[in-house]
Amino acid sequence: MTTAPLLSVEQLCVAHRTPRGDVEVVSGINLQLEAGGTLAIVGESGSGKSQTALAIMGLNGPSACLTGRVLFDGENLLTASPARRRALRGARIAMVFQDPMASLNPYLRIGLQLAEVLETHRGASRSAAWAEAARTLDSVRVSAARERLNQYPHELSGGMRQRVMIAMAIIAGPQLLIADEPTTALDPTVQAQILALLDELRRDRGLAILLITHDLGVVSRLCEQTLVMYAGKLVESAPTQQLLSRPRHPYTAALLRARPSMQHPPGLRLDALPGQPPDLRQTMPACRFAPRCRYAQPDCADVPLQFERGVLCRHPL
Amino acid sequence: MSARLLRRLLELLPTLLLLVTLTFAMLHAAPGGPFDSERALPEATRVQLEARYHLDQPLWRQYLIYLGDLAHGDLGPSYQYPDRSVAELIGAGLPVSALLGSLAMSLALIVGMALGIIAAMKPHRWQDRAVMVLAVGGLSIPNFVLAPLLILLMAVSLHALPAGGWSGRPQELLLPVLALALPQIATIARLTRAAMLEVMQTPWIRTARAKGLSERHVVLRHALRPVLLPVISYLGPAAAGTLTGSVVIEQIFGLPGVGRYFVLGALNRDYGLVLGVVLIYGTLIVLFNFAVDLLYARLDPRQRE
Ligand SMILES: Nc1ncnc2c1ncn2[C@@H]1O[C@H](COP(=O)(O)OP(=O)(O)O)[C@@H](O)[C@H]1O
Ligand SMILES: [Mg+2]
Repeated sequence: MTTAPLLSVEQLCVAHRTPRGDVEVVSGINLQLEAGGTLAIVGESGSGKSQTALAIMGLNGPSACLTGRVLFDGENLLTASPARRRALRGARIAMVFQDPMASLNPYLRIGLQLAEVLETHRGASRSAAWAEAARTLDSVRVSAARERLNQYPHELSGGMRQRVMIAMAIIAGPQLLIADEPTTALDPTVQAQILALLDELRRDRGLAILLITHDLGVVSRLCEQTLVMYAGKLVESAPTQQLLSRPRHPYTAALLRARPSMQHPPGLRLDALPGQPPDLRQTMPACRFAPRCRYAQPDCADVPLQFERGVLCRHPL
Repeated sequence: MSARLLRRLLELLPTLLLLVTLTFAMLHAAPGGPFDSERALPEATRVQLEARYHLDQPLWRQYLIYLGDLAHGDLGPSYQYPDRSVAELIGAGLPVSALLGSLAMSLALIVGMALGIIAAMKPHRWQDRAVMVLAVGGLSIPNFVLAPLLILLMAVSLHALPAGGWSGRPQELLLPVLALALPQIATIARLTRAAMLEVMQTPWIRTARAKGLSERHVVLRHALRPVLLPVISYLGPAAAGTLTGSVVIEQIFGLPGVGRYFVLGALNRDYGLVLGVVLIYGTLIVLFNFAVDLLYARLDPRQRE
């Protein structure tokens, strides 16, 4: 008997109303994440990863129109009231963003930004919330946590800021953490530390992690399962090790080839993916990747596709 | 800190000296003198008066004498009101002007920011449109046109408020304050709206929402402070606009403020009186800008050392 997943996204579509007409940026995504599990979403920038994450948070903004279902602990968030969504946000589902400098309020002290989460969700007193804020900073290994509370974001290094962001996300003890490119803005050594921290949080707190990245190197360290997105669609889903060693979708294979690796002698040109992702406003071929695919066949452009056996491709590798 | 403050205050002195010098030069460049009225004075009296006020001296001497008096805190005599000094005249008008000006500025800040925030929270909806119409109107109607219109409507037609004069009753200030504040309300509403729209797009507002904070909390705690910054930088120009505006408004509503002496002084070539008002208002604006700088630095942690 299987338990219901913590998060289950079914046929999620996100469209934005823009002055130049509607544009669908996420087209029928399905995903599942168990309590305490890890799942990665990878893809080039612009493929709809962040929009998928924001849809789970309910933060796509006023121009967005969402369809499908986002079930969290069995409850459909897309039909929940705004008050209900606010009650879950920050308390049971938390999110960490890409740019830790821009994502922290530059005008407010770190302590206040951490403490207000507890004041909002638990009705904690100011002093209790600040004490808990210091403990949480300590647990994500921010040095001199107590003094940090009185500092402003610009007084911290990039890595410290991202630790503060993570502390802010976990302070109310959520079950799900969505991390949208949490290490992209950081330098490599700090990246590794942040990934280790996320892994530790998953182990120690049973936190389920949805990791979004365009860096396949990041995925392999943290996530059991990986989804690949292209132009708003899911193109491949597989256990991470299998995906890295035996990609089935030509797009995944191309991403892997484009990845810098230790084997490449420095200075050698990487096998970067040629061409551009499609313009989502134009009508696209049945397989959206076909125009850039080195294995494309004549039938790829017009025969409708089904997501079958973990891949959206007529001629998987 | 206080040493730095003192140094910055001292740096304001050259600005004021320049202001006095320019005003002095412009006043004396204007044709006519203080005792050239229609009703000609006997030659002997005129010579006597000019000697008493050093007007028979070369201009550079007059300038130095004025500066010398100023250095001792003496704004000099008024030619038109020989029994009272310039300082006394300004002292008598200042309370009324200060009340008018500070009420107008406070009203402009509160109403302007509130309207700007409301407009930004409902972009392109009727609330936004209404505020923008008001803002364009407030900016394009000069207050010397607005003031008579207000008098016509509220005093002459509706008899709801007095048309002018000053006996110390609050309702006498209502129309002048409104006429003086409206252009500032318009500017502050536009500034606030633009700043608010920009701030609400920032990643850290998204973070605040991701924390599950209420919209009220997001606006008041996370968005308001950066929205205050452009509004505060505008307070300097707003103070200048309010002071110059009050000269006109006091005249229209017959309020016995400093502005009235300024107008009378300018018409009668009452050099000392005009210089005194310019100097006092100039000092106020310079000090106001100085305070704004300090406040700005306090609100933005990145500007502090
Ligand atoms: N508010 C919006 N209005 C219109 N289009 C948007 C909006 N936000 C994002 N998009 C578009 O949606 C697509 C996917 O964006 P995003 O999810 O941020 O990509 P990723 O995170 O994978 O880099 C992009 O083409 C982007 O331009
Ligand atoms: Mg993104």
